[in-house]
Amino acid sequence: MTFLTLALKSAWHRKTPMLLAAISVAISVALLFGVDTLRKQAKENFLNTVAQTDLIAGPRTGPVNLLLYSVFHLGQPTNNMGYDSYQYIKSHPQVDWAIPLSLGDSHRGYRVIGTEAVFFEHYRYAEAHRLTFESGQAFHDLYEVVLGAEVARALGYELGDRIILSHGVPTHAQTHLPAHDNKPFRVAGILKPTGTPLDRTLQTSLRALEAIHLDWQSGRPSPLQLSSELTRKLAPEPKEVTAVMIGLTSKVQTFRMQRQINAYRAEPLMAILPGATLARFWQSLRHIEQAFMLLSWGVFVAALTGILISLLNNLQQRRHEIALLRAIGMHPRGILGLFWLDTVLIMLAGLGLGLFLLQAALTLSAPWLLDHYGLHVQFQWPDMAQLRMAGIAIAVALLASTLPGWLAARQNLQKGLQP
Amino acid sequence: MSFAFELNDLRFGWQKGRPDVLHIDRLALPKGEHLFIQGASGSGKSTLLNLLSGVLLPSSGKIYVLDQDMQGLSATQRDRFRADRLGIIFQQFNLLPFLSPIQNAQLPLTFSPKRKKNCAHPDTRIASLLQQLNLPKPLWHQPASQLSLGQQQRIAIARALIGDPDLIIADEPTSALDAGHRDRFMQCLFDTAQNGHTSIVFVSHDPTLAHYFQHQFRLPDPAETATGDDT
Ligand SMILES: Nc1ncnc2c1ncn2[C@@H]1O[C@H](COP(=O)(O)OP(=O)(O)OP(=O)(O)O)[C@@H](O)[C@H]1O
Ligand SMILES: [Mg+2]
Repeated sequence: MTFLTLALKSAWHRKTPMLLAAISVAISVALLFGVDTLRKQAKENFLNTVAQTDLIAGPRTGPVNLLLYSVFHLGQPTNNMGYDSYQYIKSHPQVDWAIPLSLGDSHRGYRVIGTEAVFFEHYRYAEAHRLTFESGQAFHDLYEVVLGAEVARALGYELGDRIILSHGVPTHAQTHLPAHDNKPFRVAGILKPTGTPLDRTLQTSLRALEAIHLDWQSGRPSPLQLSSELTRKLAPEPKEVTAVMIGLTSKVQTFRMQRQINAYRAEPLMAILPGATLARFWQSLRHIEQAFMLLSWGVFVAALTGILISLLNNLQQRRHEIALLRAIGMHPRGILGLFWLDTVLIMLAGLGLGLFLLQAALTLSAPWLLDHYGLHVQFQWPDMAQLRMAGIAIAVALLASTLPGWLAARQNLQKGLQP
Repeated sequence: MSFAFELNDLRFGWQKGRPDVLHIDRLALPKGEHLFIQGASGSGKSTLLNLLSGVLLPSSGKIYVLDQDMQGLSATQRDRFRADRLGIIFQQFNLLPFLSPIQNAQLPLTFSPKRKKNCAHPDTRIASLLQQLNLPKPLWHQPASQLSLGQQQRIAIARALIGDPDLIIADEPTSALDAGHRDRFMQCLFDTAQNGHTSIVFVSHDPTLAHYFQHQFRLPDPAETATGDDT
C-alpha cells in the first residue's frame, strides 16, 4: 500500500466531517465565483450593447442617465429632442448612420422603440453582429411592429398577430396603463436573439407612434377619436425623438463630432461616448462591487476557519492513528502530508461542488435576472482570474492546515508512544 | 555477548527540578530472550519503553538498543531505526480501523524498505501469521473496526512481527483482555516470536504474566520514593 492510498482510505473513513467542510467551502466558492461571474457578464452584456456605436446624442442630462435610458431602458427619459435636430445629425457629413430612438410606450411591460428603417440596417451588437430576423421582416406599413426575440417567446406571438400598445411604461406606482386600443398593430417580423436589452423590446416607426398619439392630449385620450384609417391619411411627420445612436465615417472624428453636437445652437443637446460613459458608470458602482467581493472573501475565510476547526478536532480523534503511523516509521513530514492531503481533498471537492452549486443557481436565476435587469447570464467554466482565486484559496487553506499538521507531528512525540 | 538492549546508570525526568521518574543502574537483555517489566501505575513503565524505542532520550546515562547508541542518532535516524528494527504493540488502538487485518499487518513494510526486503513474500508470510494467531479466515478482509478487541490485539502481533524486527516492545497489550483472550495472546506472541528468535520486552502491572518470561525486572513504586523524599 502506498502513502497515497493509505491517506485516501483514511480520508474516506472520515468522509462525513470532510464532506461538511467541503460543503462550506462550496458555498463560499459559489458566492465568490458567482459575484465575479455576474460582474463580468454584466459588463460584457452592457458593452456588447453599445460596442459599435460611436456617439449617443440626446437632450441635456447626466451622461450616465442618457446612456442608461436610451440603450439599456433603465430609468425614464426626462425630455426629448427635436426631430429636426436628428435630421441635422443624420445629414452631417461625418455621420455614417444615425438611428433615432423614441421611447415612452410599452406593450405588456415591454418597451416600444420608435425608430426608422435605418435601425435594422445599421444597429450592431456584440462584435459587429447585424440584426437578423427569425421570421418576417422590418415594418413597412404604418401599423406594423417588429418583436424582440424574448418578447415573442414570452408572450407567444407569431407573425400576423394583432397587438395593442399602451401609453407610457409601467412603473411601480402605475400598473394599469391607458391603451391605444383603437389602433391595433400587426406583427411584421420577429428578431433573432441578440443577448442585449433589444430582445425585450418592440420596434415600430416613429410615424406610427406619432399617429397613435394624434388624438391624445397631455397623456390622455381626447374625446375626439380618430379612426386608424383617418390617421393613416393624415400621416403626421414625427416631431420628437428621445435619443440618437450615431456611427461615424471615421472614429478619429469622434471628439470633434461630440463637441459639435454639444455646441448645437438650435436646442441644448449633448453627445456621449458610450464606452467611456459605461466605464464611468462602473466606476460609480465600484464600491458595491468591492463590498460584494469583500463579503465573498469573508464567507471564504469563515469556511477556512471551519476547515481549521475540523482539522484541529481531527487531531484529537486521530491521535491513535498518528501515534501508530509514527511508531511504524512514518516521518513527521508524512503526518503533515496527511493533513495537507485532507485539506486539498476538501478544497477540490468544495471547488467542484461550488461550481455545481453556481451552475444550478445561475440556471435558476437566469430568467429572473433577464426579466428584471435585462442581463443575460450563463454559467461559464472558471477563467484564468478565477482559477487564480481558486489557487490562492487552496494555498491559504494549505497554509492554515499546516498548524494542525505540525501540532499532530509534534504532539505525538511529546506524549510518547502511548496512544 | 550481544544485547537486545543495555542501560547503564540511566536517569530520566520529564521536567527539570522535579524528581526523576526513572533511575536504573543497570539493566540488559541478551538477544533472543524475553524480559518482563513490572511496576505500579505511574512507576515509569511506559516512559522506559519510550526510551527503548527512541522516542525519548535519557537525561543522563547510556542506552544501547540492538548495540546502537541511541544518543548518537538524530531524531530522524531514531525514527528510521524504530521503523526498521522494532515491533511495537500498544495497550489498544493497534490497528487502523479502516484497513483490513491483512492491510494492517502489511503497514510496516510500507514505511520500512529494510523490513520489506526482509519479507520476500508478504502475502504468504501474513497468511501464515494470521493462521498462527487463530484469526478466522473470513475476517481477514474485513475492516479492523469490526473485530473484537482480542482479535485486534492478536493482529497487532502480526503487525509487529512482519519483516522480522529484532526486538518487540509491548506496553500492557493484555490489560484490556479477559483471562481467556489474555492467555491466547501470550501463547501467540511467544509462538510467533520463537520462530525468528526475536527479543521481547513486555510491560505490565499484572504479576500473573511473569511466568512466561525468563527475565523479570521490577520498577520501584513511585509512592514509596515520594514518601522517602519527603522525610
Ligand atoms: N508526557 C509526559 N509529560 C510529563 N510527565 C509525564 C508524561 N508522561 C508521563 N509522565 C509522568 O511520568 C511518570 C511515569 O509515567 P508512565 O506513563 O511511564 O507510568 P506507567 O508506569 O506506564 O503507568 P501506567 O501503569 O498507568 O501506564 C508519571 O508520574 C507521569 O505523571
Ligand atoms: Mg503505561
